[in-house]
Amino acid sequence: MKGSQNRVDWLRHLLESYPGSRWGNRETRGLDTQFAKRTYVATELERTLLDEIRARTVRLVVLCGNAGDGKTALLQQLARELGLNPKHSAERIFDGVVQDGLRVRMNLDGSAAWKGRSADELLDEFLEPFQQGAPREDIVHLLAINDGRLLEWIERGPQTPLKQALADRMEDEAKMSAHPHPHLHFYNLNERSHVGGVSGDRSRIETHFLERLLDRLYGGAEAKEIWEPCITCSAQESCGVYGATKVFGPEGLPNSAAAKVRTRARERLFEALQAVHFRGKTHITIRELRGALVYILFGTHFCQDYHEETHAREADEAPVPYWDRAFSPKAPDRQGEVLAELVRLDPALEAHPKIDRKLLHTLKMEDRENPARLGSARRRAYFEWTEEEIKEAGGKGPASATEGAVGLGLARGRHLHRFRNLPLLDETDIRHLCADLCRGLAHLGDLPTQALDRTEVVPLRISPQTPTETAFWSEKSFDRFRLETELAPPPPDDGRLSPGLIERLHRQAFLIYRYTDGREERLRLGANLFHHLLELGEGVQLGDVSTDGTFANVSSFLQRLVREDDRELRAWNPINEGVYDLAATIDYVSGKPRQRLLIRAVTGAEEWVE
Amino acid sequence: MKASTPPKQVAADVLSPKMAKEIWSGNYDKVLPVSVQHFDLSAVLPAIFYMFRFGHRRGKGKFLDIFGPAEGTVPQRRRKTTVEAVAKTLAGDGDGDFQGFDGEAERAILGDLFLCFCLENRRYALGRGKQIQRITPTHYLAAWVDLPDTVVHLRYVPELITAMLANQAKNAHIKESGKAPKQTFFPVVGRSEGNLFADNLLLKAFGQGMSHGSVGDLTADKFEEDTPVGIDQLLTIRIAQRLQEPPKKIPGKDAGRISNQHPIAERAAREFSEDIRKFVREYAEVIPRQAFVEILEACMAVGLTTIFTSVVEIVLEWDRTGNVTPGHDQKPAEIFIDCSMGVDRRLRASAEESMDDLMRRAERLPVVLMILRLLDYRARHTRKIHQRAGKIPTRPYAREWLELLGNILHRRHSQAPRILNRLEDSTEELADEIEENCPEYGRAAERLRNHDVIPNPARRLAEGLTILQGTGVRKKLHQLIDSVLFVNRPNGLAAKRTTRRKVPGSSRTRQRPVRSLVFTDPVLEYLVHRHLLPSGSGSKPRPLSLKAFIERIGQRYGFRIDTPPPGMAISNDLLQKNRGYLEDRLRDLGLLIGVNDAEAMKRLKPRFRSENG
Repeated sequence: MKGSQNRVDWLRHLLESYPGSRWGNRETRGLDTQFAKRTYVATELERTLLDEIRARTVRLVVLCGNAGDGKTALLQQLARELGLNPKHSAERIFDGVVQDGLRVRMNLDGSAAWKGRSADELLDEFLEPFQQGAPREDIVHLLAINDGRLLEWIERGPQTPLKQALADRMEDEAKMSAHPHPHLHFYNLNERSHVGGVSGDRSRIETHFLERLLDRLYGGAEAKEIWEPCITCSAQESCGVYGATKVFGPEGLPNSAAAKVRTRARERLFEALQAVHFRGKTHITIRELRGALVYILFGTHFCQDYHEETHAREADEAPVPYWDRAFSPKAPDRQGEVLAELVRLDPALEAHPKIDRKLLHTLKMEDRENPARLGSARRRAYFEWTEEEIKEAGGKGPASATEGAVGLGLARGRHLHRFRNLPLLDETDIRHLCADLCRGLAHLGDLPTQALDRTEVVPLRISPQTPTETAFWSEKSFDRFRLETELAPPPPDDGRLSPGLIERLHRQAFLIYRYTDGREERLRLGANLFHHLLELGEGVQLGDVSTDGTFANVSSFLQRLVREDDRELRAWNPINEGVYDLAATIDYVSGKPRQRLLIRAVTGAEEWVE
Repeated sequence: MKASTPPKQVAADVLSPKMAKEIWSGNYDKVLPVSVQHFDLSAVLPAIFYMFRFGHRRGKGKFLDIFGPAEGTVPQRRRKTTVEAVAKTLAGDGDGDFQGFDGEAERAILGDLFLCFCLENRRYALGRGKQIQRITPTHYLAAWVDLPDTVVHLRYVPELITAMLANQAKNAHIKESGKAPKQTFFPVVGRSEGNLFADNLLLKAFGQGMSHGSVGDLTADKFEEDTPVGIDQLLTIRIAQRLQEPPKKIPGKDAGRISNQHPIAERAAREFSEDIRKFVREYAEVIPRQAFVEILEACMAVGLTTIFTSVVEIVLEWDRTGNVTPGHDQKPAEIFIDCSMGVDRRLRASAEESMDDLMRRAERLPVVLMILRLLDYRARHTRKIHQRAGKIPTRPYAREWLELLGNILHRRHSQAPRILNRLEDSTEELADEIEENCPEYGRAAERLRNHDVIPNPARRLAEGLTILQGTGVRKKLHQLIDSVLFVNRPNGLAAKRTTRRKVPGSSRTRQRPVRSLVFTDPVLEYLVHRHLLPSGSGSKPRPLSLKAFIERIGQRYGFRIDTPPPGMAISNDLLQKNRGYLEDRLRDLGLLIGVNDAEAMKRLKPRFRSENG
């Protein structure tokens, strides 16, 4: 055995910050530990708030969000920056005076009782100077609170201008501009995305926060020094941390993988985390994100475990490589919603004959019959293979212009990049995408090719009460559909309830249909439905039971659209494979109205295939 | 060897033919005013339309005469009344209502249009050459079509729903609402000078283009041809117009009258009435018609299921104590819902276990209803009670009468010894008669003589008679349960499958059906939209968190999602998983906003906004 049995103490701190850690979880709240301070990543929000507090343009800051969203840490960081000495987060209320005389009060957890006083009492007192408008004193109050708790406080007792403004903001972001409260800034950190944000000019999805968080987890500027013992460590071969550090560690670490592999691996890791966000099932808090990253990059074993090989005695607790920790449902000590969601995106759930054949050749002979080994190899290749390597191994992908990664992407992630890039697309691209989605809608029903081949219209199958041999459908003009993302343009920064300083990334898009009378019908598209519609549009048959719920919203959307002109239909019958127009009309005979149902064979290919 | 006497004859020999005729049934309308057997919930609405419009039960119409063949027996003619025949008749009328449907393909398309939108084959069979059995309620005029051919096939369910919606507190039978229809959202027949198609919420929802004619004139209602309607509605209208008139009322003195008997589950009945009224009022105009019918049927399935499970609980309590649970204390049975729709096997198994438990308790229902019928008959034929009986109201609710029967059963009434002694004598006599003339029902005789285990003669006699009635009683009860649950339908409340289970102590397996409550999409849509409506008369959706929603449907309908029903152990993990499935499905349906982990922020939102809201 080469080298010595070294240890990295920093790793121990990292392991303790994972909620499912076997070393005990010490990392729960705010910046209470030295490790938390060293790994804290400041954002534009802190910097701007600091300026505004100093300039006295803000008097009340309300930070709302889920537990773990980073509210307490943000306030403690602000206190440090203001030159105040922040207390431990257990001391809920913090009061200090800045050098220029500004009195700053912070409530680090508005949801909690403290020193025998109820949360409501504390909130009443804390917010009293702002109930009717801007305060008269030279003060600034900052409140961190869970949104459910804030809502309860708002709904309790008499309504005030402050409560009304906060309620409007919580209910509907659009209402905020209607309230003249320049002294009040409200931030719903639940809307903040930590896994990427659309850049101000809408040209790219930025991942600065993730990049810096990863660097900080590796120790930031001291990373090289921290991980130096690994260079001479005897456990390198079996170490589940060393392998990941070579790939994900910051620049400058010894024995790192090639730059293009490191860049690629980080991109892929961020892509997977963004996919969790796009699925819309869970909100990724900072606490969740840090926990998931620590688990994926560092696992749950410490140096001495590798040296003593204690895990060898308990097979189910044996360390697994980072790629399996990222996706495998069998990875030990897996915990948390983000890690649970990643399992659904596991690249091992999909297959590609050419890529898989190449991967099999990298395995030992005895492992080639084991599907788990191939799955593991796919996961590793997902992170470490470059675009070119995938293309070379997989050959040309389908013509759908999916951005590389054909055959080696996340499960059900073939169209993820199109969903991801929605806010970045120009009008032409959006129209193309909208057309593809409409094609998917048309393929939801079993329609004859004559209906599907029509251009400029979207045929929507009418579901019969009893299955019939005749297919009936209604046609909608393609021009009436448009596609939008939920991400509204960032609100102007002119001092109102919530300046657009938080990084945001959409979770859903809307396919919108405009009726002839101007009303609109909206279909909410999560990443899952978006994917399935595009797949359908390309002719893929869906039979998976897991898609059932995905289309629940679609059928109702289609029913409403079909109802718009339920006096006209198209029909196709297999007797002569003919297409027919059906229409109800009102004729007047001797001045008396009478409704007729007319059928007309549509002849001439020019009418149907344009 | 002597031929065995039919069990009903044995009962008649012992109890008297008159009494046997009355008690030889599975029903007891003072508790549950429907026939305990199968019915088709999807065929109920047109019959309800008819009852609201004409104030009596639907009799025979002309569907078979117009669209069926002229020759053959009635069953033969029914079998040949197909969609093909309907299309042929209507397209061949020559009045120009259907133009261009002369060719083979065109005629086939017309037939398929009927199948697609408004007519259904028997047993949902495929093809245009199958017997038609149902008409779907695309328009009010479906009420003119006598499908199914006799309204009795709907097992008094339309009558029950009509009575509950009409809400006529003092009448024994549903009467015309007369000059004050505005006092109810569901007036019956209406005023001469009014328009029932505007006053009655249900008829308004389905009666596009209808003008109300003279109250007493069956053919006075007209469809205004200048009102544009959808193709699906036009098809129904043309079928009805071809019949020229609606069916007449059922002949006979009382046969055509609509009983105002409500189920003993007062609270469930009242809440069902409130649910359907609010839902129809707020959403009839805004939900696409076909979706609206689906959701309305889901609403009826939920309401009828709650009534049924409440009845089971009340009746079992009555059997135990002789008392009827007061309305405000009545609760439906609590049943675990499989929100994964069968995807998660553990959740499915828990839901099946919960439903099995209900089925076991419900199987006691035939015996208790038999006790009620026996006591009812004897009480009405006991002079001292008979003299008072006329003063005890049994409609709409028979609570007081059931309390009296409960006092007799539990020997708290002065006439109890006399009645129970008579039943005791009948018990002995029936046991002798069975042993002599009907030996294959020896188990019934055993039960009739089992004084030690069943000391009360009414219970003993009821058990014996129920055994004599055969397994059909149990089968019909199961059919009723499946019908109210709208089982295995896309807008139903339950899934049913057949499993093979090992017989305890044997290597054999036995096949048996198992049911589980599930929320299909229309059921979820209904529950969310209904409970987003405020409790008063307002229309603006109220804030409703997911947590509050789960609690509310638990209290109102007994649907358990994240808590186990009493007596069942379900792991917390599984309960949370079930709740997670519900959240996911609500989100997929666009009925839940927020991915927030703060419970109060998980809010439900309507997909359809009422026009007033």
